[in-house]
Amino acid sequence: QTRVLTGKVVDSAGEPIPGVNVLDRIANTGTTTDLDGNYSISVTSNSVLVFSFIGFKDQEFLVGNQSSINVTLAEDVSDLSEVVVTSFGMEKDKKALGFSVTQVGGERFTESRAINVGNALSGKIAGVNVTPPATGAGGSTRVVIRGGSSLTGNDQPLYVVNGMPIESGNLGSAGMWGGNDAGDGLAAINPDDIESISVLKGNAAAALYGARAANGVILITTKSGKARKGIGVALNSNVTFDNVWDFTDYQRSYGPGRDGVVATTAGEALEIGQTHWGSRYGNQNVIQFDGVSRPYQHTGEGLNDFYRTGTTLNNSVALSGGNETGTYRLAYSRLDNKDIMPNAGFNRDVLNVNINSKLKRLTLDFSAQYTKQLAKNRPRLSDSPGNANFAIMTKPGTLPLDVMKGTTDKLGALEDGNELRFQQNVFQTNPYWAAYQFFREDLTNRILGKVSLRYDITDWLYIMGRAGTDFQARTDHSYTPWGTAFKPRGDYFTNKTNIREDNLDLFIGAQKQFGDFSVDALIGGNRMRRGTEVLSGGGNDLVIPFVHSLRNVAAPQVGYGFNEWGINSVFGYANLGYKNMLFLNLTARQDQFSTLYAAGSSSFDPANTKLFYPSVGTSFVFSDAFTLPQFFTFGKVRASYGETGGGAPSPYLLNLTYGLVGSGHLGGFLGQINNGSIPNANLQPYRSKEYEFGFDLRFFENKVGLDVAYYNRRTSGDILPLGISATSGFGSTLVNIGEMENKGIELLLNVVVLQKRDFKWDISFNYANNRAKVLDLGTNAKGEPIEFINLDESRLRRERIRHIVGQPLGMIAGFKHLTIDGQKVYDDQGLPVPTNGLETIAEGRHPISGGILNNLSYKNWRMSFLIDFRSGGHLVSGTNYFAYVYGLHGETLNGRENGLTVSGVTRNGEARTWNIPANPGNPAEFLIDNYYSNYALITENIVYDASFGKLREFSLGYTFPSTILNKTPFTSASLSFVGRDLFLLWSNVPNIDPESAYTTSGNAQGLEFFASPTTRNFGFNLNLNF
Amino acid sequence: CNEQDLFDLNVDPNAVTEMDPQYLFSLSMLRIAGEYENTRANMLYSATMIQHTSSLAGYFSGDKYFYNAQYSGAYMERHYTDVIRAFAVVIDQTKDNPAEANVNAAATVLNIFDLHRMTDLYGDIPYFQAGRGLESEENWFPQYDNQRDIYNDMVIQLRAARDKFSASARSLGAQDFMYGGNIDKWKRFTNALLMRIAMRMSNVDAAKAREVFIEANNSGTFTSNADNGYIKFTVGPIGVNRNGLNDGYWNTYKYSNDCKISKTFIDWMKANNDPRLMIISGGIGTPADPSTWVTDPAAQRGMPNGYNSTTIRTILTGADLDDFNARGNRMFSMLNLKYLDWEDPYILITYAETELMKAEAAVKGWISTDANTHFSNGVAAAINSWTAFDASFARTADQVNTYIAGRGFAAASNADKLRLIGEEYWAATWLNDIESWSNWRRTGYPALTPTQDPNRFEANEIPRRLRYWESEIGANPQNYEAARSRMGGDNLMTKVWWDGGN
Repeated sequence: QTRVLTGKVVDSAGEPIPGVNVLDRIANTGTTTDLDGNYSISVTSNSVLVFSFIGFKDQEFLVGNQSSINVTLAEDVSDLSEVVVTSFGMEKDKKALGFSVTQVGGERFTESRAINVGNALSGKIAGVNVTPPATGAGGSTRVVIRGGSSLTGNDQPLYVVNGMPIESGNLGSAGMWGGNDAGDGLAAINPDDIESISVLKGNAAAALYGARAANGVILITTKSGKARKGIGVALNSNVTFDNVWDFTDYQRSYGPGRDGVVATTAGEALEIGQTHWGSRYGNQNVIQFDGVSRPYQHTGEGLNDFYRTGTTLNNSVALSGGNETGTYRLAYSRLDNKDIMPNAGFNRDVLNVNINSKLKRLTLDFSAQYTKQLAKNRPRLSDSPGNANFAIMTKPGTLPLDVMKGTTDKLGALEDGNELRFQQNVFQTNPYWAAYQFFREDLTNRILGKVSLRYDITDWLYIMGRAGTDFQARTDHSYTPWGTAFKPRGDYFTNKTNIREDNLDLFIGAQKQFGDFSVDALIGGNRMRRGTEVLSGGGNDLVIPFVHSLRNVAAPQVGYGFNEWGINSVFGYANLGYKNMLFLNLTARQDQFSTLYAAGSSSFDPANTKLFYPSVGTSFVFSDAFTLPQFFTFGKVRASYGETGGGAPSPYLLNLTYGLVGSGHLGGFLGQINNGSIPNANLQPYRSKEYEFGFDLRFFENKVGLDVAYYNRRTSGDILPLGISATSGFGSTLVNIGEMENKGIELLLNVVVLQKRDFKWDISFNYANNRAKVLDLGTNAKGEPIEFINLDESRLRRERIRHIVGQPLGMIAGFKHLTIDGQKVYDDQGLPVPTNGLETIAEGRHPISGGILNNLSYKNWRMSFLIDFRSGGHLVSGTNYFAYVYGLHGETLNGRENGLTVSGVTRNGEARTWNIPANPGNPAEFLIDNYYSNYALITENIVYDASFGKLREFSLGYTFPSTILNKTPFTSASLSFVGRDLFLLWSNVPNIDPESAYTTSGNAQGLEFFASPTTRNFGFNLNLNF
Repeated sequence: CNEQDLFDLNVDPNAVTEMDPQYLFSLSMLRIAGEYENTRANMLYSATMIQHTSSLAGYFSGDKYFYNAQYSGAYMERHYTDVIRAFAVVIDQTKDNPAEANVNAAATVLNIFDLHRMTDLYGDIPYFQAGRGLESEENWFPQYDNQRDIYNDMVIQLRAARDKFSASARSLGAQDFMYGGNIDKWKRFTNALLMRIAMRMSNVDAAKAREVFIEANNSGTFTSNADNGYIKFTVGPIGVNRNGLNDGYWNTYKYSNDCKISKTFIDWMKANNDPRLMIISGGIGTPADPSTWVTDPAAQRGMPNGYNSTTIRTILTGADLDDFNARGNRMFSMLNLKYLDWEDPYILITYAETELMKAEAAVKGWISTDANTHFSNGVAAAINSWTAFDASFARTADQVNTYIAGRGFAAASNADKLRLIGEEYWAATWLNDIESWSNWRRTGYPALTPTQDPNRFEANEIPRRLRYWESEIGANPQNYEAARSRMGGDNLMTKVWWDGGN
């Protein structure tokens, strides 16, 4: 006898749970709960109802004669059917995966928020190494997973939003000659829109995204609507403040001067500039560059007297809702940032729409994001032209900032409107002139869109098509103002850049259960096209003074750049399961690259453009197979092997081409060779092979969890821009050489330290040790093995970042102090003698990284803090170089009074002691300045261990209790105090932040040269829902 | 998908795969005068070392014998990529094509001109493999060739190129910013370069020098200032259209605010009543403000070499010291802005030089023409050549002849004749300071007194070469090291082969 039974399913907080499966185990009939958690089902008195929902413990009830069963589902701590997002945005049960994937919920990105999502990953995931932006809010972040796959090619991961790849690359960065960080594609993502981020670290995990995923994949899933009654409104307001972190510890005993004496004329003061080899600070007045005598005392002004407090305001509102057939979410956010660099800032508007609809067998998924970003005056870095950081970090101690501002409203200018110079090097720009008179602005309009349509042919077979696009249109305006010392007539440039990436996917998939076996398989294809188009105008030399306009350029030039490339791919995977405890994952893919086509070359082989690679993985949940002790909650072992590859170069590099220059000369035409690198028609994609083992163990009802992975990846035949001698006419050539290895362990330990009533404290510790090693670099034209290749150098031009066979990637090479039998060699005056050639000095990258995250909660309070650390890497410090040369470095106090005694050997190896004299006023007997200048020319003296630990994130939050909220329209509300980069816990680098770098692009890391100072950040976050 | 559709993406729609070699030739020619390396190797180092100019500013490294790696290496850093490689491509593409004989020959001549300059600056340099990376992997890390081998080969290359110029081949025409396609002038230029090369060898291989010089002389060289090897420039619109040296001295970077004419040079001109005094000197005052310029010849005053604004006080007294305290370096004669325009020519070799070289050859007995005539021609040409820069620089024949007569060449001993030739060569190569310095290293004229700065890099001696571009130490270490050890060091005082080195 059947009858209808009804009820309501709620969670432990009393909130209804929609979508709970209600199954009559006896009759094999079922239903699901509606939006309010209600259900009704036909039952008999013999029926056994099973209530199940992901993340909750199943509950069973014998119906008997009950007419209503209300159920409270408890959250499941033992069932680890943890759902993670993997390739193609598909949700998979984590235990079925044979590879490493780490997922972080969106709330981790919105509290102590970093504006750039990449930066927010810092310290959170084992094996993910993040370099923070070299400049503030709009700057780009460098993320490297497991040390990357390529020696010199891109080693940053692919970013995928809702299943479709996006442009995430660096759009320009400072190099040895200066420039600015032009931001990266990640800046367009608003942390409030993120539902979760999954990081796929290994080859097997990434195989389905193809060659571009060879460095791992970061999958971002944006929030979607949830079925509910009415419209849900979520408001978030975040305000944070940035303060410059002043690490300078310069000497403040001796002031500007030369050979121990101070300037006596204005011209001399101008020549002396920042050189602090004068006399001891005292009470006398000394003439300065402008002819005014001022006290010969340190002004006491530091970095914070020039930089301002940066502020960032990020407000967002999201509307969401839906029913059984469809959900939606609509969100808007606005970010206003004022940078620490005066007159610089970043604004961002993001409008995000997400619509899901299910009509019988058809599922439509649509998401779109429109972003508008405006970056103003991105600070110049590295070499000094227009770099305010350089001037302010080396400013003469006695010179008040007010004097550098000048006397007019135009900051940094003389009364005639030209740059006010306080020292004679035209390339070292007045910081106020650099900040206020230089101009640069870029506006980006960007659309990220995806639509996917899935049709379920049967209940186990489906076909799915997807189209996605990422299109950005960017306009850059910049000018060097009229009157700038190094460019008196100024310049004006405008660039319009369009970047697009389109992806089309079509695949057929099947999911079916055969008794104890389950199959989840898919085959499909992808067509990817990318292109960049740049139209630029402008030129040097303005006509009318101080009129900064494209129309005022004396002889404007027009430039046009265009490139396009594509990849065609076919792929498939199959996941086979047995009894939901033993799994096998298989994948295969073939990519074909347009950029490996060498037009017109007789030695070109089309097979070189293709790359086929498979992967296999297995996972065994032994805790389901065997009976384990009570405390052993869960256990899984996994193993995988995967191949991938890539490294296809930029378009057109395989062909030698020519172009015309300017508009000719005196009636003649001017032609050039376009290539800076020697083309090679025989390039092939590189290959990387990786195996990985790991286990995931949980104990004591999940109070302790340990996840460990070991991986070993070898990359061979890498495509390298082999640095060759420029006397060959070219600086590099592309070749397939080299073999490298990345191996390491990653460890994640979660411990619930304390859980008592209202109090909970858990710690999550992650640690990774990646040992990257160059195994082979091929042979040169003579057949001799190549010992090293050069990557990059800083403006000091006395060091190289190098890959050296048998050493870790990215070693720092430079001059060492020449020694004979271990004794340091000095020249006839007692000045240090460098080695004749470059020597290997230290490792540039950190092999070790990790983080310790603490979460504490008590009733409505919660607190979390993240300690982030790196270890083992080094940097070459350009700032410390100049600190020695200019006599600012604290160590230059040694020997100022009575000279310095050094002991060593002469060039002939004879032991000797020298006195480096410091007799003020006699240039022949004041050589202490020469000593420190020569000391700094020995690269090893300015290479530092860059290991550090930082309190990266801190937050203290309060969730308002419902007893208070009941009287308000809000359903939930929380307020938190948040902070980032609050304390440097340990560091060995003087005067600068050990994380300081002027570029986050490229593989040559470990170079430091007057980047923007790093900041401490703190603020408040308010979250309201109704 | 169609494979070819994918491949077609890799064909650049905005570039060409073939280019008229004349266009490549033309750009490389202009780039010989690039701003970066000319301000560094020529202005900051050579001009101050040779005491043409002087500066109190430390970045003018040459007369205080400082070592600045970037200035020292600049010519090498830029010219292999900017100049040599495109010439190499032009030469290779046209070598077997009789119709392109002229561009082939002209490219060869300018290629050798530039490599010659570089070997004179540095000593052993990559020469045979220079700029030939495209050709073969073997050239990716070029060897540094011995300077003697370079000199021998340059002679061979230049003679072959000279004989290749052909009236029946395609003319360079408007693509030639030196001679407008006039192949006779190109042949004369080639011989002038051969004479320069021959003279340079004269102390270490006199027989070869003599043979090369005579052959070139017989073949025919410059006959007037109309033959001068000048690259013509304009006001713009972009950098390559402009005389790069002048871009640095004045029009863009205004470095000449920081340098003045050397006391050595001003005193020499005054002592000899040189009519060039107010050509070379723009007067005393603020360069940017003509109203301040004092152009009275008698008032001109050169800046002594080797001082900074502190140490110079030790040699100034009384009113001079007061003047210095008030005006700083503006108390000394400045460069004349009239020859520092963007559109002024860039000097490679002049008729004045070839005549002075002939005078020397005649004194040495290599040739039988009259040394006195050659000397007079050379000095007159040197003075008159300045009208190519500004019409106001014209000097009357009387002024010129009086000056020449005052030099007393005819009556001088042979040794003194060599001194006079050397001094006049020094005066004639104003702005072409790399050449001036090389000739001084060979002849020792004019006699210059080294400066005494305690911060000097190696010694208080005028350097004998520049140090290599430091990038090569890292990028091409084996070949760098081989050159360094063969030459006996990579120092400013290391002598090159023709200067008596290895």
